[in-house]
Amino acid sequence: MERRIFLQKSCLACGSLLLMNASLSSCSTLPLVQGKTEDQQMFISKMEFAQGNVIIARSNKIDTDILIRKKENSFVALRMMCSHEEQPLTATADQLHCVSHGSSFNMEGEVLREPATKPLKKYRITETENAIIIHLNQFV
Amino acid sequence: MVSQILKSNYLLFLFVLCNVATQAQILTAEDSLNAGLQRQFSNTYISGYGEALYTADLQTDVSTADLRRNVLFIGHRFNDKIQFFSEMELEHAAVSSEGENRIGGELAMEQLFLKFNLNKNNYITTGLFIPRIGIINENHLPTTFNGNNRHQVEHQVIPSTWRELGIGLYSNVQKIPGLNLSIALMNGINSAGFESGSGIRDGRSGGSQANASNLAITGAALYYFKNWRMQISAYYGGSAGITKREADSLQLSYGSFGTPVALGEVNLQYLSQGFTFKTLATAVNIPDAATINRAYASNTPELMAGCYAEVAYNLFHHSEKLKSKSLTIFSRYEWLDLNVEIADNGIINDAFKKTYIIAGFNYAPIRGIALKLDYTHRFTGEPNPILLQNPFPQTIPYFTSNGFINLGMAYSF
Repeated sequence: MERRIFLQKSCLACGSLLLMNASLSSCSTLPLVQGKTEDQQMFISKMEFAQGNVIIARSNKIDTDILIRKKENSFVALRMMCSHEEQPLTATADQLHCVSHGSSFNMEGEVLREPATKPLKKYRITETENAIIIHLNQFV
Repeated sequence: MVSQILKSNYLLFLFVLCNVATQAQILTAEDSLNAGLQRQFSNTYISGYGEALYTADLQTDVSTADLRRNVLFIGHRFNDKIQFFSEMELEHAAVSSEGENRIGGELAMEQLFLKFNLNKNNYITTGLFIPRIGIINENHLPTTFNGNNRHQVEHQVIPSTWRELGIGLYSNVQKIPGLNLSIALMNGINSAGFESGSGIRDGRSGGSQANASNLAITGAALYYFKNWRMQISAYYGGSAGITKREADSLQLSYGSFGTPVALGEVNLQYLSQGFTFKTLATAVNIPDAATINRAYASNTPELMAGCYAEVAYNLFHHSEKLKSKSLTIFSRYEWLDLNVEIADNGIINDAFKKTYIIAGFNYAPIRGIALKLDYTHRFTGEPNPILLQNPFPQTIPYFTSNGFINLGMAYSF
């Protein structure tokens, strides 16, 4: 195969991968919520949990997504960054996985599979009547 | 007067020291990394892993001990978009070329790449990186696999850890939670390094003055679903990164994908309630093996293949008291054949048809530490006597059935 043709095909493959992902990202099955962030606090409406107990919160002002789980009458907010080497995590219905090195965590942030040795960071959460507030610079 | 000045300077020094100490208490390096917002203090982090091994060969009655590897990881976060990763590995404790203690260890970069976050779901890596092929390749920390030795199929057929220079695109597909895709373009391997019995392993460059006239492309789909992890990956690349004149002289096919090597792999893992299961199958095809043999007389095979399956159970899983520890009992079966098909000018060697049965324990007093004991039994076919060109009279007999007891320690942090 000529190098020019190969490079063209490689670029096409990369572009296709990005486009496919972008098109699929538009309708996430684990609800993806844009959080309103001010003064190192993220505000999430409690209405976001009307359909289910788990959402992923995102903001352009922080470098990681946050998995928020409603647990009876309280909430848990996990920083979706692996405690091993700070790699982003992939969330499924009941676990979080580090694709880079294979660590897995349960929904409490506890390590199920190494190489991660420490649990995921949990943000401190406070509540108002209609919203939860995630304190981005405070962990519990 | 002089003493007053010294005293005032001393007090000033103490004040500055206290101030620095106070700042350190307010925001540790780890916190600054993990807070995700405040990183003005330290964005560089260090970790590492390593392992040491004692092996007793039950047939020859010879034992060996080896500090097999120590790896130092250094990473740096330039900003939210760009990060640096590196792993420097020292194998066999020392590298020395002088004196009586001349030792054949190896000092090498296992990884060194920059990562560019395009957005929360996509990133690019460029530099020396390990492509997503197999399980051990990316997940090679010794505390994460059972037994003292890495899986033989992922050592002899898939040459883990396999790193090359290139660029890779990694994507997390949000529409399908758990699905991750990757594609990478790398320098190709060098067929001049292929050797009978070690497959394509010695054709890797490891990032050291690699041939980049030939290229390789690799891609993988990795999917997490409930307690399952599934992956399929493929590699296709040229192995003749030499000049056209040299290639013509050796009658090798020239070009980006000249004298190609193709690899396919699929693996499956299950983890639940302390029970784990993993299986992997792979094959490597070298269609121009006859041409390579003619050029380099390396007895390169046309087809290699291997597979394994492993079951393991953590005996402490259901104990609340022992939750922070683990005692895993495991058993693994591996089969591989480094000459499933040979070229017309190749010579078959049944010693490359191998079966391994491994069973043992891994004890982890805390996460990040593993003390390992395993028994490995290896079965092979008879070596082909044609390949023994100058047999040494005192050569130790070849054992087609041999057992090894391995005792080791491993750590990662």
